Amino acid sequence: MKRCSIGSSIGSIAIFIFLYLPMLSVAIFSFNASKMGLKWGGFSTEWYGRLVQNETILNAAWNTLVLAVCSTFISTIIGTMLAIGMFRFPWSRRAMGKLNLLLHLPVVTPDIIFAVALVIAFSVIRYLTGLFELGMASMIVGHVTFQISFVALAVKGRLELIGHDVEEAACDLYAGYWRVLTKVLLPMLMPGIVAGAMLAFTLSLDDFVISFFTAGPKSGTLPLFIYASVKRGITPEIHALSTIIMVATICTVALMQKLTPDAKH
Amino acid sequence: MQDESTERAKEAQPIILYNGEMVRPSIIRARQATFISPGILAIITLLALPCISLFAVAFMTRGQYGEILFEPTFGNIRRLFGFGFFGWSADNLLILWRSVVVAFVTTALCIALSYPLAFFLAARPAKTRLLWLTVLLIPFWTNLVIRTYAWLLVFDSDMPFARIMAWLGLMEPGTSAYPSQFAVYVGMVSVFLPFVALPIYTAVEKLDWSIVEAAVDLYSNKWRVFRHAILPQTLPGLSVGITLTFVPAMGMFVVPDMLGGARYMLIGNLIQQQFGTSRDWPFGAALSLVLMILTLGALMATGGRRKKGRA
Amino acid sequence: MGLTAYAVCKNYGETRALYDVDLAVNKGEFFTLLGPSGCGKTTLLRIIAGLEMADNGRIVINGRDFTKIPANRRPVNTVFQSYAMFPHLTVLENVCFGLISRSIPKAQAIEKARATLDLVRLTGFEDRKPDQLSGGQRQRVALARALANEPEILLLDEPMSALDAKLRVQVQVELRQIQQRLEKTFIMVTHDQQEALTVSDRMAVMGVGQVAQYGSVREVYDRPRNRFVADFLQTQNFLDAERVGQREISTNLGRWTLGDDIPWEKGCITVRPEKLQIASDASACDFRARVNTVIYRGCYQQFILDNGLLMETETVLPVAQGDELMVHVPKDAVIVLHEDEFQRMDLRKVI
Repeated sequence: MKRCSIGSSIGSIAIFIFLYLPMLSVAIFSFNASKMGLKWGGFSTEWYGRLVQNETILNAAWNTLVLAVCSTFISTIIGTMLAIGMFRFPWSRRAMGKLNLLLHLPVVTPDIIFAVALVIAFSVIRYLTGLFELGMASMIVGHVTFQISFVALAVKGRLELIGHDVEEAACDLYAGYWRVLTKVLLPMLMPGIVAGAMLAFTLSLDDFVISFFTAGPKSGTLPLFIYASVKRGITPEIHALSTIIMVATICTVALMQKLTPDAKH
Repeated sequence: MQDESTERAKEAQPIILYNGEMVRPSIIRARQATFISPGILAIITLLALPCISLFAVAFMTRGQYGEILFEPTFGNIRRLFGFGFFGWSADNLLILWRSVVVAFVTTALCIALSYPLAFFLAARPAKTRLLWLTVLLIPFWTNLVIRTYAWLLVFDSDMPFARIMAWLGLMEPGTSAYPSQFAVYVGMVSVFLPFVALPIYTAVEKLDWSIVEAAVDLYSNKWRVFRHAILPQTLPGLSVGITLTFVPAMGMFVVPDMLGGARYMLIGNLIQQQFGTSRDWPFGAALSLVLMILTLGALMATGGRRKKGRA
Repeated sequence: MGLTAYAVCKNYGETRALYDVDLAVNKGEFFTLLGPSGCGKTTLLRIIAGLEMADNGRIVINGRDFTKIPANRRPVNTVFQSYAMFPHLTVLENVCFGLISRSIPKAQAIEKARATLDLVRLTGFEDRKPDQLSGGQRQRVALARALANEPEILLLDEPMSALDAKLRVQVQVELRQIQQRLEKTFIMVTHDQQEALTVSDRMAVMGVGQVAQYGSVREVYDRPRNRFVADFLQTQNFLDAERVGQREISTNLGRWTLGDDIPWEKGCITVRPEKLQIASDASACDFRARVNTVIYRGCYQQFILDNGLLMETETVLPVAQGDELMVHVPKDAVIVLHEDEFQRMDLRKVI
C-alpha cells in the first residue's frame, strides 16, 4: 500500500515553501543595494557592513548573548537539581501531583500571562525591597523561570531511561552518596543535561514576549530591537540582521541534532 | 487510609533505603528539599503566586498615575463586559471572541496541513528523514519576531503577492496585504504549524499500517479509512498538537500586533496595552484572568480527550 | 559459616514477596535459588546485598550481623541481571570502581583490576567502553567488577538471562570453574533448572515467598519433596495413589511395593519419564499400555501412552503407534511426594 500519495507530497512541498519563502525573501533582500523600498537595485553587502558599525545593534546582540548564556547556565543547574530531586527521591503521591503541576506550569502558561506574572512579581519585590529595577538581572531571572521546567523535563526523560540499577551497582561497589551522584548519576545524565541546556539556550534566544515585558531601557535584545525598528519601517539593515540570526539558528539546530543523537526520538 | 498508616509505619523505622542507600528519613527529606527548592521556589514566587494574585489585582482600582489603589471594585470586570463611561460597547467582548476564533481556526488549519506533511515525512527513507525533520524544525526555532517580520516583507505593496492580488482586483493597487485578518492567519499558521506537525508525525511514524490496510480492505472510502483507522491511532499526537497550538494562539501577541495592527487586536495585545502604554494593571489583570481561565478550559478539554483516547 | 538469613519477611504493600524465609549457605559453596518468576528469589538476593530492607528478619554474614548495614558497607558484591555497567567508564574503570570507592591507592587498584580481568579472560579489553562489548563480554566485565573487590559472598542475579542458549552453557561451566578456583561463596538466582543443576553444589527451590525444598543438587533433582517442586523440575508423570501396606501403594496401574515408607493414606507419586523401562519379560511387567504417539527427539525417543504417562528411552526402538508395551517401574524410581508445600530449613543442621 502506498503510504504517501502524490497529492500529499506536492502539498508538503508547498507547505515547506510556505514556511521558508518569507525567510528566504528576507535573506535575498538583505543583499539588495537600494536603500528604500523593495525594488532590486543590485547586489551589495553594504548592510552587513553597516551592522557592525551600529552600536545599538552590537549592544543588543551582546545583551542577547549574555542573557542566553547566563540564564541557560543558571537554569541548567536548577533544572537538573529539580529533576533529580523530584524523580530520584520518594514522594507521596499527593506531593508528587503538586510538584508535577508546578513543574508543568511554566510550560503551559501562555507567554503573555507569564510576562504579566513576572512584572507583578518584580514590582512587588521592588516595592518590598526598593531594589531590582527592570534590566538585565530581571530578564535573566525571568528567562531562568521558564527555562527551569524545560531543562527538568529533558533531564527527567534521561532519568527514566537509565533506571535505578546502575546507581544500585555503584552502591553495591561501596560508593557513598556523593560518589554515586558525581561519578555515576551526573555523568550518565549528561546527554539529558546537554539537551536541556541546548533547549534552554534556544528558548532564550527565541523569546520575545517575556523580554519585552521585563527589559529595562538599556537591556534590549535583538528581537526587541527588530520589533521596535519594524514599527518605524522596514530597512535593509534589519534584513541583514535577521539573516544573520536565521543562519545562526540553522547552525544551532544542526549542532543540536548532532550533539543529542538520542534526543531526536 | 490503609496506605497512610503503612506509610507512617515506614516513617517510624529508624533507617530506610533509597537507591540501595540506607539513610534516615530525615536526611532524605533534607536532601530532596535541597534539590527541589531553588526550582520550585522560583516557579512559585515568580509564576504561581503572581498568577493567583491576579484574582486580587483584577478587583482593585487604577490610580490617577497608573498606580494600583487597594480599593475593591467590580469596575474592571464591568469594563471587560463592555460597560464603560460612555455606555455599553462590544469592543472588549469582540476582542475576546476574536481571540478564541483565531486560535480555533489557526488550530484547525494547522491540523489540516499537518496530516499530509506528517505522512510525507514518515514516508521519507530513514536516511533523509532526519534532514527533513530538521528542515521542519528550523522555522520552529527561528525567532518569532523575525518570522513575522519576514511576512511583512512578503506582503509589502512592492512584492509579487500584493501585485497579483491587486491585479485580480482583490486589493487596492499600491497597498500592502497587511494589516489584515488574512495576514494574521497566515502568520499564525506559519508560526504554529510545526507545533502540530511534529506530534502528529510522531504518531504517524508509529502507525500500525495493518489496521489501515484492513480498513482499506473493508471500507475502501478514503474518508472512512481516515476516520476509523488513522484518526484513532494518531489521536494522542493530535491532542498534544492541539494543546501546543490552541493555548498559546489565544494569548498570541506578536503576530496580531505586527500583521493585524490596531484593527485586528486580540486579547494578548489588549493585555500588553494595559501593562504598557495605558498603565492600567487592574484591568490588565482582569483580562489576564480571563485568558487564564480560557487556557485552563482548553487544557482540561484536551486533557480529558487524551485520557479517553488512551482508554 | 557463610551466610545465614533468619526469618526474612518482605511485603510490597499488600503483596507478600517473602514470608518468613530461613536460609543457610556454607562458606565456599555455590548455592542457587531456583524458582519461577515472582517467587521472591530476587527480592531475597537484594536483601542479602543490602539493596532492599527486609521488614523483618536478620542477615548474618560470616558470623556478623549485617541487617542494618547499608549495601556500600557489606562485604558482598552483585552481578546484576542487566549487568548495570557504568556506560561512561571504560572496562578498566568499571572494574576499578569498587576498589577506588574503598580508597585503595590507584596503582594497586589497577593492578588488582587487571588481574581480575585476566581471570575472566578479558585482557586487552581494558580501554573499551561497555557499548563496544558483546553480551558475553559485558557479563564477564560485570563478574570481574564484582570479584575484584574480593567479596565474602558473590551474588548473581540471573547472570545468564541475556545470553543466547549456546553461550549460556559455556559460561555456566566457566562460572563453575572460577568459583571452584577461588573457593568463594556464590549465591545465584535463576529460573532455569538446567543452569542450577550445572553450576551449584546446593540449591533451594522457592515457591511463592517461601522455600519449597532445599538440599544438594542431586537430592532435590532425584527426590523432589512435594508436588510444586516436582512440577517445577518437570518430573512429568503424576499418579494418585492410596496406601495399602507400610511400603505398598495402589494406583490405577496396579499395586506397587516401594523402598520408602509412605507418609500418607491418600496422596501423589511421580516417576520421571526416563526412569520407566520396557520390561524384558512378563514377570517384570508392572503395567501394560498402548503407545498413542511416538516422538522422535534425535538422541532419545518419547512415547505418550494411552494411560497418559510419558516415557523416554535412550535408544531408538522400533516401536510404532498402537503397539502394546510392557512397562517396568523400578522400585527406587517412584518418588513419593509430601503433602506440605514448604520445607523449613533447619539452620543448626546446615551450619
